[in-house]
Amino acid sequence: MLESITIKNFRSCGDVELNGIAGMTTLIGRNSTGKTNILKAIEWAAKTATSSNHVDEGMNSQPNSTTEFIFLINLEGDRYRYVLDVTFSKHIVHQYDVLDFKCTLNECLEVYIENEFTEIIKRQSDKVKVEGWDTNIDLEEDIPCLKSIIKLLPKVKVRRHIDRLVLFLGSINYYPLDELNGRINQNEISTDIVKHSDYIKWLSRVKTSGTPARAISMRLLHMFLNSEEDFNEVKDLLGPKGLGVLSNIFINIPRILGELDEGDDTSEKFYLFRFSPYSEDSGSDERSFGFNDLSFGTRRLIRIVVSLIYDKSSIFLIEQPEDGIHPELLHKLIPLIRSYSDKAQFIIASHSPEVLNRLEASEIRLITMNRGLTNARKLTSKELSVVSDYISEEGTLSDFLDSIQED
Amino acid sequence: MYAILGEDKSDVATLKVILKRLIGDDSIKIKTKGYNGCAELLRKGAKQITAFSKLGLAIFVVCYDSDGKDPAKRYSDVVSKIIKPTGLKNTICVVIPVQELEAWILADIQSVTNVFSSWKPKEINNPESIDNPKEYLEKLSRDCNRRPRYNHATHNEKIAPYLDLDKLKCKCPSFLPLVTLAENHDAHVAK
Repeated sequence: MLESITIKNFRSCGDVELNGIAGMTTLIGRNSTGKTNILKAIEWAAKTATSSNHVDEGMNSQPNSTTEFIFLINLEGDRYRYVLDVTFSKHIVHQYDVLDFKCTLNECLEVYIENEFTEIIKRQSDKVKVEGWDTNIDLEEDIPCLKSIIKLLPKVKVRRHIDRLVLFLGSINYYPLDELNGRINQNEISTDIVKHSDYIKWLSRVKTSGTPARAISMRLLHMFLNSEEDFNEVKDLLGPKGLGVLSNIFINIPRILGELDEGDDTSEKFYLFRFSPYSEDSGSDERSFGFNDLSFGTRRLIRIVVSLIYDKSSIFLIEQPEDGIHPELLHKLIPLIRSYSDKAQFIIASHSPEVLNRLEASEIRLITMNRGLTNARKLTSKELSVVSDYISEEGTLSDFLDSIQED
Repeated sequence: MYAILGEDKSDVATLKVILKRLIGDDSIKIKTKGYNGCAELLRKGAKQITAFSKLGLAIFVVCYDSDGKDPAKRYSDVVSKIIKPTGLKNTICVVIPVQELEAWILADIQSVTNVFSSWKPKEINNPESIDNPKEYLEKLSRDCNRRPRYNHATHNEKIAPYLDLDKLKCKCPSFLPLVTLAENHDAHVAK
């Protein structure tokens, strides 16, 4: 698990540290204080560290300065400290009179052995020193080293540590509000009819790129075809004995689908997705609908639950899980997420009192903005002792947090 | 005709199911109000009961977990902060689960199999002696690698229809005030 993360010079995060991160950690604060920047920073750093490609200038808006990320990670008792420094410098490509960015990476991976951190990888610019390998490895300055080392030195002594770190960091995923609302890229739109050949292409693309799939239909289909347990778990969580939003999910293989498009293979298999709503008052609905015909809140819940079961993320970075969800369901959703917090960590940004009131005070991080820079802090020990009495005698955690948030 | 107040939404939803079963009539109208914690219940409970009374509801249940503290003190807190301020002479049943409501589920833990078909736990004889029964149930679910995982907010009211109420009567003295209330249902209706 991630014990702490330090972010320096990433957007509004001049020097932000989140430490003592537990199974669930929630960032609260007014709009534009930098909560999203923190979540995006964590994902960007993790994806960059585990990439085999040139670093994308993408998220960094600070040319000629160094962005730094320090991860403290505990993986089943082994502790790691991974530092990633990314420096973008502007330069003019004279031949074309174009402004370009040059990226230089410095990285360091340490393992905690006998009460101290011991360096096993040290990378400065294009030179990489690996413990157990006598000579430096040469790498392009802007290609992260972890996966490169795995490829170039498959039998190196410290391979086990690198594999574990890459697996952990590579499974950190960010779930922005738009994605949970269904506004995702064209390649990942959820459709109600999926051709088997398209499914195979999608599967191949996901396996090759290593990026998580987003389309609900594809993920459900993958579970349906490959993991009955996962598929049934999704249905159970959403069904009458769980959150009570769906009575069933059907994936059918119709024989006749009407006219096929010209050129379609008549032996092509199709999958048809249907969802039957459920309500506590009226029970199961005989009718079934396509995904996009369901209500906003139901679609949102389905996305959250499917992500929870399918994605196998090491850390879920979630924006505003409360959006579009009735408080009655929200008070069930947060404990549901928490019940999976031994398998994965959840770092959530929220505005909702309903969410906050399901948390422990120690799980809160107050996010504020001061002179354009984001600050993050835990509740102080005094605040923690006061809040305990406050919740017993006066009000709710959200009331207390509201009263202590700075202007 | 009934209203149930509690410190948590899932508690009142679970109590609603149980009360209907005790009375033996699923068509009984029961309103519920679950708060965000005990402080909110104690602060707002009296005004809520007054409002429910004005809406024509006549019989009230207030559920306040003892959370390991003295149940007698909890009872007197309910009386002084919720019941007395209403000034009402209505029937108000106070339920103080020892530790938490989840102890009642532990009293018939084998009922969980009706919701989680592969979970077949062993019977527990002294459920009210278990500290943090909610955490105990969630840990048991997690340790057995249940799919899906049990969590109290979603699953308590789903398990409630299957609880053997006789086991609760035997093993959980804190359950008995609710039983007595239900046994006098006909008398309440006659009033």
